[in-house]
Amino acid sequence: MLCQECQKNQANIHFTKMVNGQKTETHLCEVCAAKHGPFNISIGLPLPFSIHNLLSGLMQEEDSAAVESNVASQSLTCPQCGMSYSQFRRQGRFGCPTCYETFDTKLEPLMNRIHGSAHHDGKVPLRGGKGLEHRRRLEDLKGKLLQAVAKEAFEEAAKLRDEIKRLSTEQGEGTTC
Amino acid sequence: MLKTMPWQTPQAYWMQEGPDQDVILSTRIRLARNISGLPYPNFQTEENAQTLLQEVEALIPLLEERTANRWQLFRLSQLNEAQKSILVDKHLMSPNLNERTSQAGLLLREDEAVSIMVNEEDHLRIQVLFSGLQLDAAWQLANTLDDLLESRLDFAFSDRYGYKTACPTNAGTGLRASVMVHLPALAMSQKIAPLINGIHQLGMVARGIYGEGTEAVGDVYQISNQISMGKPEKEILAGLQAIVKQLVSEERQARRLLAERIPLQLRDKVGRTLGAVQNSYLMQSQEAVKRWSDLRLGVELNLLEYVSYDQLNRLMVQLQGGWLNQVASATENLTPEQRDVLRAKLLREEMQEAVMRNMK
Repeated sequence: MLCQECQKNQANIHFTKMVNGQKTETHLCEVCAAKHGPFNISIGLPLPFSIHNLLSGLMQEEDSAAVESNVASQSLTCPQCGMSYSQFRRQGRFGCPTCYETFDTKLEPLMNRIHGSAHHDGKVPLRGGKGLEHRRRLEDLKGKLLQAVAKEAFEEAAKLRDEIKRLSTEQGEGTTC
Repeated sequence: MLKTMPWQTPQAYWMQEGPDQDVILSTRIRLARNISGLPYPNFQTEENAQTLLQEVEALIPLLEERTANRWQLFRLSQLNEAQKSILVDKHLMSPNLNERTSQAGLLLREDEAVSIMVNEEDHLRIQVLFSGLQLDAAWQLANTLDDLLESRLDFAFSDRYGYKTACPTNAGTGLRASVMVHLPALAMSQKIAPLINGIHQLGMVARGIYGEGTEAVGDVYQISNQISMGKPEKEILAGLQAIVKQLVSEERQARRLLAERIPLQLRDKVGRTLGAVQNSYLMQSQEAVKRWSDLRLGVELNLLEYVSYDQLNRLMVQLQGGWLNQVASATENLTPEQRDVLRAKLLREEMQEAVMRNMK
């Protein structure tokens, strides 16, 4: 079957549209189908939408909810790779790691929608993430200290207090991350 | 340099015997990592891409020393179409990497348990592929390799959002854990749709690996975590493990029930499949996947003692276009009909041989 549009290439993308029981079929070649916009055509994976189209949808919803800040956020541009916020929103993908800081104010709701959380709680790289590891350990110890005090386990509490003191000075002395 | 090139054999590490192999084909752990200060592969210059490939190649001596295994970096631009398809069919790389030929690389460990994709959507995607259900073991290896790579590369990381990936859906841990399952009895019992639905509600994804949507051909599904942020890796893995274990027990129960209620029909289905594959001279890929699934069902129900799981796993690669093209050593692609002839021949001879072995 030939492509309905160019009448030259073999039609290998077939769309079927159903509206109120009315069925229309379109048969296109990949080149012409690609011109038709939001269809993500890749050989072997003829998915009508990509995950990035969906993300883009998520972000637009976020933005319409916060119209006032919209103007300012539209003009955000990443100093490292030059990606603008509107471009990010359209593509659903970051341009470079620095985009995370550039679009920081917009990311929390987005991550919450995707992951149900906007805070990493997993592995920390040995090199880059010393600071975080440290803070997590401190928080953990402080929690334990409160519990020890509540249980009136003062000896344990004293040990924990010393450990917290030691860790706090250590962090103050150097780790930058 | 590897001794055997990965496309010269349909066999891969994950195809060997593994835990719960009657239901589970393989376990995959994937970690997405990126280099600080470099644009992501979709936006990087050709020069950046080539530099990263060189930097990764320079890590090979370290990897060889620490893992007691040979490694090699393949530049996709230097592979032909059949070779690349075989790598995809062996699950050593994604179809997405295949589409980025000019900049992409695949760093492969000789035993094929580990493959690291370079310049896919992220700079690096560390993949560990094991047989059967082995989430913990696969995670441990991926984690160790990640530490090793991180000792030489500066990974982009944020205290708040974790590993900074190109797509926000992978941010946080950068972890995608997947388990490939064969669920023929649940499919015959019409239970797949509600199961997939239930899995989605638990924050995991299930999709058919052949065919689209819920109409999976061959009853092979991939179950993976959807959420990569907000939980530690171990917790994500434990969630997936629990769901998969449940699936395993439901599939086994469905098999037992079917074997009790319709033993003759099952025997008939498997027997006819065996007859068909031994006597076919043209076979399209859709049909091959269907036949393959029914043969595997025969093995799972102990109705085909002389066919093994690793043989069936290997056939998953051999029945596809890349391997068939290579067998025909065609410089150009075979026509669909030539492929159907070759596919039928391969399956016919394989099963005739198995039957002969059994008679001796």
